[in-house]
Amino acid sequence: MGLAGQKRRNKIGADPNNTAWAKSKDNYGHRLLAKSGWQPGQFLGAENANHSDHYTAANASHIRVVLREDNAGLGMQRGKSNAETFGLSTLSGIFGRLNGKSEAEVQKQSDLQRDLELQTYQSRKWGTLNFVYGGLLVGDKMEEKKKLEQLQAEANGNKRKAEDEAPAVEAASSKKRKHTSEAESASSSNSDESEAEPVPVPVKEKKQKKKSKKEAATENTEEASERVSKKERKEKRKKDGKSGDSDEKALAKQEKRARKEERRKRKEEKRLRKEAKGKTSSQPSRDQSSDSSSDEDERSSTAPTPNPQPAAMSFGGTRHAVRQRYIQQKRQAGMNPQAMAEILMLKATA
Amino acid sequence: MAESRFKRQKVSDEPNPAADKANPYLAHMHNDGDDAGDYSNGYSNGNANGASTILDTFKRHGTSAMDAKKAEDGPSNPFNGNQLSERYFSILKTRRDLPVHAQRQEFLELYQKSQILVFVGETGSGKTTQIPQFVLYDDLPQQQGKMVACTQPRRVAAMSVAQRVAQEMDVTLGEEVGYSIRFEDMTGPKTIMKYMTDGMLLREAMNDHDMKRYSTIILDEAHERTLATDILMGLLKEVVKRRPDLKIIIMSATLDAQKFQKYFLNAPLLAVPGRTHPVEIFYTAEPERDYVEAAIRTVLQIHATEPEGDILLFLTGEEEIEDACRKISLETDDMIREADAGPLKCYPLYGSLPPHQQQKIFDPAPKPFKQGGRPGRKVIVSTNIAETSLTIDGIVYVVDPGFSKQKVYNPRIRVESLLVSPISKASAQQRAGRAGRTRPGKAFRLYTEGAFKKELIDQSYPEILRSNLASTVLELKKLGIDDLVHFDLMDPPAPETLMRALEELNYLACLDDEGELTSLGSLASNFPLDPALAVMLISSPEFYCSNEMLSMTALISVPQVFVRPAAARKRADEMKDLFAHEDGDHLTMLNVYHAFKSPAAQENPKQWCHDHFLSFRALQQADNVRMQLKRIMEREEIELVSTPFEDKKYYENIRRALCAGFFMQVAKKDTSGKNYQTVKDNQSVLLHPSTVLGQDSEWVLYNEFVLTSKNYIRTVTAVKPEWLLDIAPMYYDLDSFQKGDIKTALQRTADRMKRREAMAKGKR
Repeated sequence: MGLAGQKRRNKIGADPNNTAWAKSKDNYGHRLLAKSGWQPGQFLGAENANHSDHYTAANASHIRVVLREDNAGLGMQRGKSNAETFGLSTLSGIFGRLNGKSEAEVQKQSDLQRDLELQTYQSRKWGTLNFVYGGLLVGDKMEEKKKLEQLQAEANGNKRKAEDEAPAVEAASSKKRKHTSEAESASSSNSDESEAEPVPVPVKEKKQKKKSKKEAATENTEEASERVSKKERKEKRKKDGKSGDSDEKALAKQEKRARKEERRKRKEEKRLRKEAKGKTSSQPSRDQSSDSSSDEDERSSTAPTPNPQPAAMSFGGTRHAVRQRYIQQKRQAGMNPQAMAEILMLKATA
Repeated sequence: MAESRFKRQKVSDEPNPAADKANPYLAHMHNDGDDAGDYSNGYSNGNANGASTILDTFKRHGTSAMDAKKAEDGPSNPFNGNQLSERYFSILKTRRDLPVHAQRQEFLELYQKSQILVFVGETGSGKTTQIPQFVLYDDLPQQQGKMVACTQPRRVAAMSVAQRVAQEMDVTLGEEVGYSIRFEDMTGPKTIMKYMTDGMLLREAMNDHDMKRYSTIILDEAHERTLATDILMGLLKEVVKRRPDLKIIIMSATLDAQKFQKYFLNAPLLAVPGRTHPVEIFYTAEPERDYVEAAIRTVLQIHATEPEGDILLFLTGEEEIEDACRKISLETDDMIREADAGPLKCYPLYGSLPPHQQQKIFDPAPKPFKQGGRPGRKVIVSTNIAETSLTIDGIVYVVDPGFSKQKVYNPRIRVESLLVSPISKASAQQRAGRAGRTRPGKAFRLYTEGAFKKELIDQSYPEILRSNLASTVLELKKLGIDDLVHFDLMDPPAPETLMRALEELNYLACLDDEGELTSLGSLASNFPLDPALAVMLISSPEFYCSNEMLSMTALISVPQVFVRPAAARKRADEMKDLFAHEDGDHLTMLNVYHAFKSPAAQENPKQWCHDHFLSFRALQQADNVRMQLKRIMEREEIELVSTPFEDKKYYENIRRALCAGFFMQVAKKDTSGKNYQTVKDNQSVLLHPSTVLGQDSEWVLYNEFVLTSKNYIRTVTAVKPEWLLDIAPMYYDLDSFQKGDIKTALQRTADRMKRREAMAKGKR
């Protein structure tokens, strides 16, 4: 706790461990034990015991316990808790290298450390928000979580195939590529993570998402088209599953659908423009909510459990803070994408 | 001087048949009539009704699971010939679904083949209720006039399991199936299956070194490694050499059975898999600043975000648990009001909780507030009782801060205390496993994975390594173990601990200078008490206050009688002042007890205790203990006397009597006038703030040494150095003292006493 901490003054006696007794060899007990053939340094118990390899230090001398004054958790050490703020963490890389760790590993570690620090800083300063999963918006329809997971599994399987097969139909803009690759990486890291420890990695992911969020915010219109392309891809995937024999039919169908899609796209763009005109302020919030919901769903699929780390928790134990969190949660529920979409729909038709 | 203590005891060295008759531990020695070899339990051969049952056709140690099945199927009860009830058959059906049942044949084969068997089965495998019954059908103790014993570490478990098994066998509890716990014997002449505490079997063994009443002894829950179980194991290892017909089964719940197997000279091992589901383990990313707070937050978060399933939270002690329960309930009320959370019920669970409240943990989780609402949940906040010994269904989430309250003993400063310390890896796995009893679960550990690997020891230390062994050594001596150094224990204690125990017993005159049990020691071992307390009680007639000391001993052996709730500290202290005695806390406690027994208080004792900030439960328990001890006193023919209350020596006598037992727990004020220093061990201590004693007493006697950042002595009474020199001259032999303040003070006192004596002589 440093200088600001509570001062604790203890008077320690002259011989707190009573070594005077421990060392003396002429006390009654020592004498009696020696009489039975025990020598200092030996274990008690049967001679040549069958189980003697299970003996520990506790069989030789009494158990030492550290007195705990506070409720500090296991592994918490006084003064050591915030080594990183003293700049010691920067040394860990050097030590790591000296200890013969590979460069990549050292880099990975320091990245992790940096991300964790950022996360703790962020959560301490502003607190973290909790988001409620509300499904995935595809086109203008909500997808159920289950379906999405299925799709993702499918997508991992034959995404590449789909991309190879239909390069002509897909109006391949570089941005789209970027998005898909990003999605892919996200989903792949996703599946990695559901097996691995849920704790440190989401930080990175969140960052990624933040990046994509920014992108989405700056290029609003792009988003719609992207979404459409997503749908296209999905449809292709679906078809992929079925197709293979009736190629021609499929091609015709595809063309038809593409045309349809284009029409819809145009419509949507129109609508979006209208919306933007009508209520500019509603736009970002919608983006955010849909974005954050996808964010949330990623999180919930990767780490469906609360990780009880202090950084991720937004309430500090006092009732006041708890209340504040619930208010926030409620507000968040108000921003539920489903509800928002409905509201916007109404506006769009009106 | 030392001799004077023996004068009043009516103890003769030759066996006293009359006393033995009255001793329930020796009961079996008297009902055997002329035939010394036949330790009959009422049966001669076959059963009491004289009707022959299917079991008569069985060959002892030669039956199979099929035979037993036939016998179990009735139609008449194989043990008493009665018609079997419908309930019996419905229970039988569920019994046959238990995991142990599938391996009955395998069990029987191993059991018949070897004398010692190690059996491993998770809690819930049915081992505690089923294995003893499997044994009954094969061992047929009724034909031998013997019994099957099954030990349990806890009284409550022995009682409840016996009840359950009596039901399963369709017999009346106390007839064929019974239990025996300290102060309560629920067995009869027909009993063939006896559940008992491990301590009880040890007490029986003191008077019957070969355990002749039993044909099979089952040590259940051996993984808990209680002191009594450890000693029983060492003892049985020797007994089996003398009694080749005795069979031993060691039952354990953990897979640490290898150690057991090795200890029992590679006895065969049978493992029955429990019914478990996978449990996901989660660690925190960083160490927690406050584990209690983190635990509460985790519980709330689980309630808010996780699907249906009950939560088990492990904390360390009564106070912490009650506090956490209160906080969780408060916060969930908010959560329900503001965020429409599901209902949540929070139940505490700890050893000193009255049984009916302990039973509440088995209540089902609350229903949702409305149809289709968020599901309800129950949270059980428990000490480590819930770790292995209790099976609570429906637990899906476990929150484990990684601590428990553990007893530790430091033989150097002679302090035994309960301290919050990290659990072991094995414990942590056990705790996590609780989440997977009914379906796949999750365990949240409030520490990092690194801490789990680095800071936790592999196995918990058994009780024998954590306790003061004075009473154990006394028991061992009574059990006829002469060579304590080479007694084959699974975990031999630290040499220093044994040294201290021997030394203490020597000062208490329970052991003579050669290490042999004295008659006082033998008498003291009949009391289920710490040797110091037993000696104090035995010598109390010398001070004409045995009635008072009886109450005092009872009060010392129960939990704290004074209640001091955080909300009403001042009022509680005021109430305590009503009972305060200027000479110290012991006498204050005695005042409380006398007031409690007064007719005014007994009108409505519960209310009276509540009004006076006293623990009704503790006082009731003290009353009970006093009654039991009184019975032993009467049996041992120790006089029950009192000094007339008007006598001005009334209180002095009591304080002197205290010195007779606690002369090794004395401290003297040091020269600075603030701290105290313990005699001989020279530890610097402070008076505990709760004491009613002023700071003015030069010498004090204490009951308890409390280890915190400051070392406190609690429950203190002022004494005079003259008494100490007079009552315990061996301990207060001035030559054995280190040079210092205490020695000079004692020297001065001794000189003064000598002078006074000389003067008295001169006058005469």
